[in-house]
Amino acid sequence: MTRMVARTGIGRAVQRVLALMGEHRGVDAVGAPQIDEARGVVTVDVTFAVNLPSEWRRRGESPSGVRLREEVRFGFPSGFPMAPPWLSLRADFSRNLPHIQPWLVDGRPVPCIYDGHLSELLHKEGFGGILNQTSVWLERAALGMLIDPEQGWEPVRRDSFDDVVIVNARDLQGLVDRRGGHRFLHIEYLRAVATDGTEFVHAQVSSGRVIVNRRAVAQLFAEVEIDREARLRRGRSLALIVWPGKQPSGEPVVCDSYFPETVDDVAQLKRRAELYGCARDLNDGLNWLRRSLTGWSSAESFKMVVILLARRPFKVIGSESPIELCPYVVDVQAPDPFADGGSTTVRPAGHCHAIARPLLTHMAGSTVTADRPRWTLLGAGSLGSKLALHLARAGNGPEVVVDRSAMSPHNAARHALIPGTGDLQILWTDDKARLLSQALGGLDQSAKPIRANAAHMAIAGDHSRDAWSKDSWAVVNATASLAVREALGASEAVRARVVETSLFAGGRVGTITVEGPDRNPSTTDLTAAFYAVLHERPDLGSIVFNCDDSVSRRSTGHGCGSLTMAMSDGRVSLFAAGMSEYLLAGQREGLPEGGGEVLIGRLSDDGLGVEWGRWRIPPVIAVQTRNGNAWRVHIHARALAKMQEEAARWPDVETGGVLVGRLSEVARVAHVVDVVEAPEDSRRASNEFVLGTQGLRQRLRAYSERVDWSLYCLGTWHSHLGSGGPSATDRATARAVSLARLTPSIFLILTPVGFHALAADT
Amino acid sequence: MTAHISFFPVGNGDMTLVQTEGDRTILIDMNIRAAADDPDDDTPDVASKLREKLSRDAAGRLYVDALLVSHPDEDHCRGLRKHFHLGPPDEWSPSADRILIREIWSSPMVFRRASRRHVLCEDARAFNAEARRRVRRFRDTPWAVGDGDRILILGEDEDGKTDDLQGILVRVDQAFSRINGTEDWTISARLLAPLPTEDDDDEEVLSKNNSSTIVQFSLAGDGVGDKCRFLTGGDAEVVIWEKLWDRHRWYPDWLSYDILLSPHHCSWHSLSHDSWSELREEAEVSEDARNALSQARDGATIVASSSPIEDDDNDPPCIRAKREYEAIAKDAAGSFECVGEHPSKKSPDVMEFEIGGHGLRLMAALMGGPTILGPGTIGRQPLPHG
Repeated sequence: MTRMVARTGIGRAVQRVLALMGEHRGVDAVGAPQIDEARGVVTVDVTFAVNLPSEWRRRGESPSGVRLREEVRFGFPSGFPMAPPWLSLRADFSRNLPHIQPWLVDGRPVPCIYDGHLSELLHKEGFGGILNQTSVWLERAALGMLIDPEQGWEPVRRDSFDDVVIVNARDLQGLVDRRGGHRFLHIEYLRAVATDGTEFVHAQVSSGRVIVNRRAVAQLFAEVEIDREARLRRGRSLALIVWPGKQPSGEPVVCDSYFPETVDDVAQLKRRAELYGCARDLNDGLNWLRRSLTGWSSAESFKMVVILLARRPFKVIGSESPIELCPYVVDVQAPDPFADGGSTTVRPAGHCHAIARPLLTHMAGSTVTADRPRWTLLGAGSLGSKLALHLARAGNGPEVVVDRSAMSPHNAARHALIPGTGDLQILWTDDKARLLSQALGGLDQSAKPIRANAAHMAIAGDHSRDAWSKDSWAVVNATASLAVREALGASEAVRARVVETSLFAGGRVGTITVEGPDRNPSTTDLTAAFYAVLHERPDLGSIVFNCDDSVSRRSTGHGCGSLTMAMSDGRVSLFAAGMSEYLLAGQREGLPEGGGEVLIGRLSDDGLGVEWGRWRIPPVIAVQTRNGNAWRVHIHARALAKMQEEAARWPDVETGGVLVGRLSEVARVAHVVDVVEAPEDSRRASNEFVLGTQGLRQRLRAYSERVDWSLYCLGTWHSHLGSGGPSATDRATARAVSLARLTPSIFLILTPVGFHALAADT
Repeated sequence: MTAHISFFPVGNGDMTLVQTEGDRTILIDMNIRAAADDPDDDTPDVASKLREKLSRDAAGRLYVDALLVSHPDEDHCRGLRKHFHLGPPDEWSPSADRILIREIWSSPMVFRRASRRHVLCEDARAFNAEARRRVRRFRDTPWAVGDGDRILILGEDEDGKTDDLQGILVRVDQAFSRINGTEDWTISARLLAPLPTEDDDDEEVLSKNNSSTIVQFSLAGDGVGDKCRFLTGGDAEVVIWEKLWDRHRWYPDWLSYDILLSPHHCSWHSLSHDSWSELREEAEVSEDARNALSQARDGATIVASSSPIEDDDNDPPCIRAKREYEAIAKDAAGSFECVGEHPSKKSPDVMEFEIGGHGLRLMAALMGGPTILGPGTIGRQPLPHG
């Protein structure tokens, strides 16, 4: 190993690297560094020892041509280590290997040792990481393991090209058949000039088929300037898609060799098509184009895209298909399409997937093949729009958007959509539902907009068939409307589980409530359960209930106002982000089984984060009241446990207490979430329980005040030793109580075999 | 899994782990010095490196399927008591968490009494006691011997002492694939020594070193059999290799290898009857012993499990032996590697070979953070500050 000594003209950082090279385990020798004073560049040749398997050692190289000793040249720019080093291999190193860059440095092939920018690797693992990766790369190249069939076919590197072709790979892969062929498709493109004067093109390929003939060509090509200063032009033109057919044997043509992208003129493009087995198909397409252009003379040239589709032996990485896309851009004109014939410049282009759901799901780390869940968003306001777009960006946007109102200028403060520019922004005042659905369409997820009051829909069944079905994953209520919540709780039409997202107290607390299977507990049960949690957690309760300015009328114009909370867009997003993640997880893994959930998020004291807590809410027991069937009683697990415990304490006499909860008037449900113990002066006997009074009113008042009267006394409960229902005494008491109360009262009787309920409704 | 052969850096001593495609692990010898167990010492912590390569069984016990102690010298069994469970397997303790030896491969030497020629260290005595316990277990209940009680005796003992052990006896020249009671067809092991003693054998022949077990393993790579042959022979000296050549000269295939662990840590005494320190370059190589040790297949690697080899009087490791092995390796287009110098003399690490469809390949030694970012002399030696 050559030891390096400090040299003048070599920076400290490079000197350190040279010392490290000498120590590296895979390095056999470090050559003398060469200094290019003019450019401030240092290059050094480093010999790596490649561990070939025993069977190849006598020949001294692997079948892929990698030798026992490989010299790699490292170049260090003057800006190193801010600017990364570059690597190159000996000039005769095989370029027909994957993970080789499409360009040469001083005529030497460049290995792609890292799936990302080399500067990132340098700053992540230091120069040792670069040496390690080089060593590993050489061994993989020797073993022919740069392509791993398990992982997929490594497509030809194209990520360094300035020209970009945007097209949905699946659309093109779907064109490929065993006969081979070509097809013309529409493109639109932007032609621009970079600061260094080089031209580059961004082209997008449409999925629609186009007819190309002499009559049509004049309309197929156009180009206009859209920004003189930026030298930006927009054009429309054609893409020619070409794919290979089968061999004489009947087997499809498969190209299992890797060729780095080196095409730079039309003649080479044709040779490349030969390698991919689609030369005939390319010629057919180009000949047809030539014939179609003969009757027309264009004043200028246009950009055309050619995409060769190569069939690989196994599926291409990041795709479910073995078809690899190899796009190029070339200038065409009429009547002779190529100005310089075979030597007309062709530029290989990078490929980007069009904005499509598979791309979005892939980027969000989900399975590309998973279906988009069917779900309905109620409320396209600031919170709902953020949820919809977060989920749509993961490929799981809602399929129905319901909102009753039109967008208003003040919505621009917090809505996820952004108004267009200009003096007149009238389009911004369209329906919220429609505007949001349009945005979802831009993310390749069409959504049906419904401008309607969700409460009416839930109760009256308007639009119900369009809005949801029993197969829906969920109905997400982001309306912040108590009426909508009550309507959903009472609705028979809604069969899917309801998830409600809400913000409280100026965005200091947020909630997610999730109904259980078969909508038990329901969204209104969960609201009652939420209040019961707040009773147990005064730290949260005090924020939710003691906030005077949480909802107020905000002026949005002269004589106009909106009932809303004042808070920043960022704060809505803090909560919307967590809620979206919850929804996305629920869509991927399913909603909770065995009950519902209440999640409460609390803004941190510094306002920078949200901490979420989770409460599982078991299904409620529903008891129909005996008198008139008017009311149902939903008994929550907490209340049930306390009543059973109390009854067990008094096995030989009747006992009882006071029911606490809230009423849902629309659904006519009494939600019993808790019970308050009977006062000390109560009397218990085998045939009677007399509820005492000592301190009871104060205790009930204190209970309700702690939760700002969101929970209150609902009536009483008592036990029966036998299975019998309400006695004459019970009925008389119920009547008496109802006369003295303004709200309906509930009388619950716990027997050894279940509950009986009486409603006393004046 | 992919088959591997790993040589642990244990100075002048042996410690080799064979992992087969059939997922069995065979440890050959160990030399776990106290310094290796000392976290403040730079000696490689080979016990931890070994444990990283082993699996745990359903009872949570780290295990090797087989342990072969080539001969009872300290540099081949040091650390046994500290790191391996000895005694009945049901006495294994989770808190001690020692490695369970499912099956012991032992030479019949365990039946010999200690003598002037046969002085044993504590670990060797413990190994013998454990081997004898397992033999007793076999004699008592041969039908009910499980993991941690199994033993194979490699070679017959003199005076018919092993005649009643047919079920657990492997005879010289016999090949076997039975590892810990079941067949593993991805490996075959041929027992080449210890050779049966002859009446005219002198004291040198009967020494401990020369009782070393010599085995030629044949391992499958990437599903194809015999992709790698591994010849390992403890500290066997020149007379043994001469005898082996004499036995197999007409069919030297049994001595062939893709990887050879050079006997006795690259000792001159395995190649020559002469003393290196006295005769230096005048010392003569034994043609027969060299023949026995030069049946290298193309691309073979010869490994010295020793401290770095310097050009000095030392033996082992001996520079002259190294030169001889380098010449053998060169003829085979192969290479010679010293464990104590891999990847560097300064920080030796496990030398690991992978066996694939194209034979044996030394695995790349990458540079880890500790090498680059380590504290250097800080913490290694007192650093005065003025």
